[in-house]
Amino acid sequence: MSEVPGAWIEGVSATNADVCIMVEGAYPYVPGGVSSWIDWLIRSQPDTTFSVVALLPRPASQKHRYRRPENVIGFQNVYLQDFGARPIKRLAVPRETIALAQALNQLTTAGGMAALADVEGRLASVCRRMPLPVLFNSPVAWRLVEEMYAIEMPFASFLHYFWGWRALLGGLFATLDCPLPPARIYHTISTGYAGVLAARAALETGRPALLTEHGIYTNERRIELLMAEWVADTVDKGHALDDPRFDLRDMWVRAFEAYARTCYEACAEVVTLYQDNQRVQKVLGADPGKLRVIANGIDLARFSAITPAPESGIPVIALIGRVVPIKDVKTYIRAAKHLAARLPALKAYVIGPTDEDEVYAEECRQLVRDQGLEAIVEFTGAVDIVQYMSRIHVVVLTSLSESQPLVVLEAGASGIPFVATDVGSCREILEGRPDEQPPLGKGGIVTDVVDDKGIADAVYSLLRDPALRRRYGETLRSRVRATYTSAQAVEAYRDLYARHLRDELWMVNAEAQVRPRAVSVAVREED
Amino acid sequence: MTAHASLAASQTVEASTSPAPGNRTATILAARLIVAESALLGVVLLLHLPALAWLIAHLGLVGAFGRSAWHSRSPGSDQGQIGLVLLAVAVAGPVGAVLVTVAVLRTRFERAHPELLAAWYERIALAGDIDDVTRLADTVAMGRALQTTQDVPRAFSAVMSEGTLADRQTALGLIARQFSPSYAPALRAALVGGEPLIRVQAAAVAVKIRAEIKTSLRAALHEAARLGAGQASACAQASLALRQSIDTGLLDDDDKVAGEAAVVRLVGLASAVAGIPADDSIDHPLREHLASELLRQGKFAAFRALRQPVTAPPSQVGEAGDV
Repeated sequence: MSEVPGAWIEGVSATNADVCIMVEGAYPYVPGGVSSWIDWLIRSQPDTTFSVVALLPRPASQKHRYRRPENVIGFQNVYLQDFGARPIKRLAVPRETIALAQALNQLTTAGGMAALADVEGRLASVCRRMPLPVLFNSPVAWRLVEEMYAIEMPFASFLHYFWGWRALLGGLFATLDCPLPPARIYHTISTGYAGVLAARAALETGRPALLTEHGIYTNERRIELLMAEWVADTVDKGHALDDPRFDLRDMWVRAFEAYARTCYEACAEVVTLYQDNQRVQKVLGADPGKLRVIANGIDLARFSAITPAPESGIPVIALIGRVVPIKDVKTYIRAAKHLAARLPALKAYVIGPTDEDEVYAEECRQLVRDQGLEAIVEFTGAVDIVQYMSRIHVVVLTSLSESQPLVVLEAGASGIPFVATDVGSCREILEGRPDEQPPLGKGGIVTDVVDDKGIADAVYSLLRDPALRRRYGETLRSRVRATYTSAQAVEAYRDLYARHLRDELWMVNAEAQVRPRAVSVAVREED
Repeated sequence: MTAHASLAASQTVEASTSPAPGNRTATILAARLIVAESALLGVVLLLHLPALAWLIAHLGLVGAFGRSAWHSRSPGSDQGQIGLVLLAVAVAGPVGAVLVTVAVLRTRFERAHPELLAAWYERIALAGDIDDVTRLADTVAMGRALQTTQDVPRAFSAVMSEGTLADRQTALGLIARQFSPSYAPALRAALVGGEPLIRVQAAAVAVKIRAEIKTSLRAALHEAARLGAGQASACAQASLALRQSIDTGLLDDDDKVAGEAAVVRLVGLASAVAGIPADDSIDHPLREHLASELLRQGKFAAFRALRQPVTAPPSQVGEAGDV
């Protein structure tokens, strides 16, 4: 890496990192959420060296939104939608092509490490004659698509299948073709392509792979794909839900489910942030014996000096988060409208950056104007939330989807009660896990999503009752101190890494068993 | 994907303007056969060989060239022209070789029709629109049409309460892509259901639909403002569309208020003439909609007039007796 502190320079490191982080569409390019968590994880383990593989759609002039931590010694981008090299027309199609098509079909429909190993082995054989990017634009690829079409969707539109195949397999081939950074542990932050890359690393190096899943990637992709207008419906199923004919949308969803199975099988441990996620992971094929929860934590000291907002004076509520659609800021504004009818002096802050989705932020501002709430709703932009906490009576979260939102913990550490939609681990944090000992009680109110009236009622019930507000705030503070501290999370990951680094040393000494395709593995063998 | 497809199509069209490899190979083969057949003919004439020997040597020559062409073929090249060259030479000897060379050269230098190729490549690259007739023909021919023998689809509301997780997710996808106001109850049921996975997906759908309904409501309000007396059917249609949008429960309060006001105005305009005459200018579902709106608004006289069509002049209906 560069000697310039904090700068990211791309290139496969020659030095073995302790941990290679594999992340799709986030760190270090997208701020907040998963990216902030990765930055925290790397900085919280100063004695561990890291390399980072960022999987992105295509090369773009994206800015790095985080400074490189000192202990990151390698950084590499992998472009999923930019795969392929100059076409080759005069090329004999090898006999293994049909078997490769069958193996690819198996990997993208059923998944699993055996299927991945089969694909890797057959690709290694075919790629003796040409690199994979060349193969992707050669008659071999044409033969592959013909064969897979005949296996998977012979009744469907070949044209649509062809372009769908190009997009789907392009990402997979990019993941299978990129050089693997040398590392002792491979830690992916989602399933999907990053998960396949981690599985490939485990397969090729014999070193442990770990998964920390914040949201359930497969489910997020499923939602996106089921709603997507860009996926063509080539089979007219009307409104029948049980029409067995397979279509492109099904092909995409099935592929991501298969990739998830492969990743779950490859990873030695599958970590998530809260228990309810494990239910879905099991449904998707994760081995229950590998599952564990490591909750996110916060730095209590940062919020310990915050005094509660005065009980007299204007009622103040806040939504703390990025102004982006998934936070459903519009429902918060509508809830503020309902509240303003009962509490005309209300102040409703939206605390968070507005530059990630400026169109959406402008829609929110327009909604404020439409509702006549200019004097009530205030967008602060990105500010230090600690400066605002002592003014806020209730913090509100209207998100459509979350994993484990840190803002709930930060409000809890400040003794502020919370109203949150029933997403991610909000209920678990506000009401306690079923096995909480001793049960602490409620630290806030959980509402339905997109329910502005319900949210307004919940907030109002807290604003009008100072005793209830204090009780909920103190309960939440107690729960955060007991369960959700940064120190606990740091220790849990230190322990996780230490355990697998020990195992990895033992395995290296015993020599890795499976190395079907060593062509692009850049792992140094001396350790 | 479309941009990618267009690029691929343009590259393919560009590539198609040069002769195919099969054409070039056939030309070379034909030229070689002319030389070989001429040489053979010369030897036969010079040595006064019998016709049978000539025939055997001729067929052997064609066979040898055919074998060589087969072994040196490249994948994807057109073997048809090579076959034609060999056949013509086998049948007509050097004359056939000359004729087929001329024919092959003609096709080689014949001007292609790039506009036809471009249209074809546009189509296979999915870069342009296919007309409805072609699409329907494709769909039926490929067995991708709606299967009319299947059971009647289940109501989405029933799916949300009884369906499997996969069914509910698929139904929500359909609601998102083909929303109709009548799906709103199913969407609301999904939003408050017990399964977090479904709630999250329903929330994403609701946000998408909410934006779409807001846009369509604004357009409908704009259109409604242009309607006036004498456009009863259009007024009734517009008021029904607005009512359906309002009833989704996905509108903001101010949009809802504006929508309700427009419905009142449109129903007033439509019901002023709806009772006369009892023809089909306003069909039964629209009359039922108007009737329920009039009841909602307390305009009982207009409601009665609508239910009992008379041939009274429009101005006498819908005013007297209204609450």
